Amino acid sequence: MLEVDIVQPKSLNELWKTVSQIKEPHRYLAGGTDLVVVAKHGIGTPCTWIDISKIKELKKIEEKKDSIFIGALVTYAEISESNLIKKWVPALGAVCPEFASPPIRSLATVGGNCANASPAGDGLPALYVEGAKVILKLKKSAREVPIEKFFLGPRKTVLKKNELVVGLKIPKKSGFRGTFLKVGPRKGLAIAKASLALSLKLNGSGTIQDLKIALGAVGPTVIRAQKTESILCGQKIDSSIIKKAKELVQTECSPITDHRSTAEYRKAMCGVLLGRALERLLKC
Amino acid sequence: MELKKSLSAKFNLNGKTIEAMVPVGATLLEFLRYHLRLTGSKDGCGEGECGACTVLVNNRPVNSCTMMAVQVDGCDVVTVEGLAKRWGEGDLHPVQEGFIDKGGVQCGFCIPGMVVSSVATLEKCPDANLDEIKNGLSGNLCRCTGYEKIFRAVEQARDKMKKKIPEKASPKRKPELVRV
Repeated sequence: MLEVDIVQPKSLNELWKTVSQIKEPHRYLAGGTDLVVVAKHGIGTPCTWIDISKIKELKKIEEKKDSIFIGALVTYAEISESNLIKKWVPALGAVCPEFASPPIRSLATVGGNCANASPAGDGLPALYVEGAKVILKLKKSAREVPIEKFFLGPRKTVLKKNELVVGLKIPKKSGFRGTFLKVGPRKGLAIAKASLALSLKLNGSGTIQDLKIALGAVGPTVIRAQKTESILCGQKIDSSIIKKAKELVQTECSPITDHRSTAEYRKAMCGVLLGRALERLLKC
Repeated sequence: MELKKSLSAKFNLNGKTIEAMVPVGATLLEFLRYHLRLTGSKDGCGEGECGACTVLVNNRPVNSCTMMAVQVDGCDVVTVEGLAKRWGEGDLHPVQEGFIDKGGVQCGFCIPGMVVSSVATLEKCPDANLDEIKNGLSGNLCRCTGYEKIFRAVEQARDKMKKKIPEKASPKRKPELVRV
């Protein structure tokens, strides 16, 4: 039994009416796949958990004229089944088979993935390359924060007290391919030693017209590999430019050595993952 | 801290509607095992890493050790104990039969989770090939068998389940109300 109290608002309105009276400390609970696990180790308890998992407004994927809205409570299982995501947010769709395990994907939410702000969070590099904006609400106020400004450091975000991630807004971009790869101690249920998301658009003659590269687990937060992007952008891809890019991307990350991996290995893997990602996207 | 607080939850469990007072600090696994005495789901790691606690919630596999019990309000929950009834024919679900026929069980501890995950895979993907079966089981660990006979068990179940009329495989029975 965990040392927690749980309250369950049925709607955002009910949440905003009651949130200031909820006993401190309190945290939002969605899928629980991070929160419950650390609580079992005695971290973060006693606490009051505000169970938002029943708030229906946060549970949808919606196509709008210029963007896709992904509600904060959408799970990675639902992401993997969505045709809208496949079409408009392919890098995020590519995260799903690499993400934890099927039972965890049934519960783990995109909003929770963002709010938890792990440096190795799998969904995050994909959200970077897809140009996501995080939609935050606190009572009557709402704001959109570009994902690159949302994270301040490991487990730190710009969220104000009681502010809630309600969803992500992804701009529709036509003609883009996207993918995600990671390296871990095993194929499944593995925290990434290094991860990479890539989104690119080719023009008619096979030149890269536009691209974004984001690296995960190799810095305090996700890193956009902008120097590597600029040497690849506008280029016709051949083996010599790929070799240059694979070397350059290794200089753009700042990994640490910890119990999971060494900095040298992680750096090297950034190059390997870039090569594999380019191969995957340029083949099809 | 009101550690003894409970919230009321109404949910379907193995085909019956249950109304219960659920302690807020309990995970779904604790609630199933210690309050409802459904001890089929096992506490392996308690962290969502081994899958021994896998149950179905709204037809999806879930690690019951990382879900808080109060969150099943309004949900449809199926444990390993409810699979035969879900299939609706005979004493065992075809996946359970497969494990027996193919020798997929050694110590038995991982098996309920393996069975539930496999049921979820085959219900979603009745033509699942070996890769898809393996992906479906990627959240379930076994230290005994080396997995091969588990895969054969699920393949046998897949072939048997395909022969059955699809409607019978998903439960549309009217649930009876049970107060706990």
